Amino acid sequence: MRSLIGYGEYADRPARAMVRCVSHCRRPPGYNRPMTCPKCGATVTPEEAFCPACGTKIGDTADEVRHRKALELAHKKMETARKWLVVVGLLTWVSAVIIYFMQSSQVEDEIHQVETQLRNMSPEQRDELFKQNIGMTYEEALAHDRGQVKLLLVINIVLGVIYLGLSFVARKHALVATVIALLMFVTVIAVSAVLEPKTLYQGIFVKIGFVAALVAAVQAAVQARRAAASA
Amino acid sequence: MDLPPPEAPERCAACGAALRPGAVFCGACGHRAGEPPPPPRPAARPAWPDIRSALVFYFVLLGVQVATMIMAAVGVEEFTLMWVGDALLAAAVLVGALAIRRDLGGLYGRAGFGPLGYAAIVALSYPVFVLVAMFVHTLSTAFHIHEHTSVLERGLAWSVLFVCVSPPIVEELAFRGVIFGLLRRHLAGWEALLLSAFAFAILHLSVPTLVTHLPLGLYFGWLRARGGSLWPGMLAHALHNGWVVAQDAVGVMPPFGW
Repeated sequence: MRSLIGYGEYADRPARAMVRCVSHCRRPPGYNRPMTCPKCGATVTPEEAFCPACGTKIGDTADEVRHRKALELAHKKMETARKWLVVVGLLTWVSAVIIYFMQSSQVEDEIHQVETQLRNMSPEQRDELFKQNIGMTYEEALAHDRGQVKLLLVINIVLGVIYLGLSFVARKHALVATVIALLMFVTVIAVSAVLEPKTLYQGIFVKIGFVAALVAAVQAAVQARRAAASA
Repeated sequence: MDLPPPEAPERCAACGAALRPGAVFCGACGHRAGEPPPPPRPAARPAWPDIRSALVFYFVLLGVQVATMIMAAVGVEEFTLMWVGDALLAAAVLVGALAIRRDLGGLYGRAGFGPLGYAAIVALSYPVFVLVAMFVHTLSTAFHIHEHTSVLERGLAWSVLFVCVSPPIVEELAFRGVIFGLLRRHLAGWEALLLSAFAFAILHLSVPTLVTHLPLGLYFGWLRARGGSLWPGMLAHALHNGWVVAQDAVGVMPPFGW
């Protein structure tokens, strides 16, 4: 008897139309909705969010649909921005290490040159000369130069940590995380460009792509909030 | 035989959607047909223009700071740099504030703080300064940063003007007035507070202050949010900077070997 109904082993399952479609089958929205009101049984068209007979809420209103779409767009943009945050954080770490080794070998070379130039001077004379020129003793100047290299390493590592941290914060607080990342990133670019103009062109496409992704994410997050407020 | 003209479909009083013949409720918004429409909801102010203005305002201030840095790099004399940088920043903040907000007077109203609140601000200023100074000192020693130049070279009056008077006025208006105000219209209080504090900390363009000015920015911003006026924050800011000048002039740090 079962075989007469159809595929026997499925016959006792709920009607297929009531199962929510999870595949990408391109069915129109509202396909899975009941076409009669569950409360009063009146017929309902797929466009109607409320039952015209009894006023029961059945589907999404136009505002809710707009909100959902804005939210989906914001999530998509946010995911892109988060990937950029991870990439920029890792790139910051890599460049931190490269810059550290380049700068420290440069500083050690300079120190070596100065030492060979001043090898005939007594330590007191050397200190005197340095005090007059830069206001520090010789040892202080060495510590200062080496300290600056280490400082830049620490700054870059911390920046990388902040970008990666923001990529996690962005899961829950998309707007705040993206705005902070945007402010920090542009400020760091500007300051580095003043201190060392050639850094402006280094990785220019990564910089442009990151800023564009952040601006898009901020904008989408704002629009999702606005839609949420009107829904 | 004349047919009656086709009746136009009845419309929902609340949302204006066409009603199905015989419908009791509107299918689009659920409003009951025949009832008076609900009062219209006030339209939400669009958020993006305001947040964009706050970002643009920040980037203009960053531009001024960068211009000052470039002037320093090409060797402009330090005192000239100080007042030119200050004047540029003040002008940018004032023009931006006037362009963005039309109710600047509202920022300088009576604060919701009594004499006790102001007394607490005065009393707190010293421990706050000591914490900040200790941190900056530790970091500067660890990395041999010698960026601190004495503000007293031109005399006490100038340093009071450039450290205790102008920054509280200009920075409070910029960060707590304009940026916090714009963000607060659309974001939650803590979000606006955190973002304005971050902007305040980053824009000082200095490594030790990046860490110390975030809590300071949160403190001043909290005073602004709590008091509803810029005055308490300006007082706290001026007092903090006053301790910095006093430390330079006579040394006011507690005697723990600083």
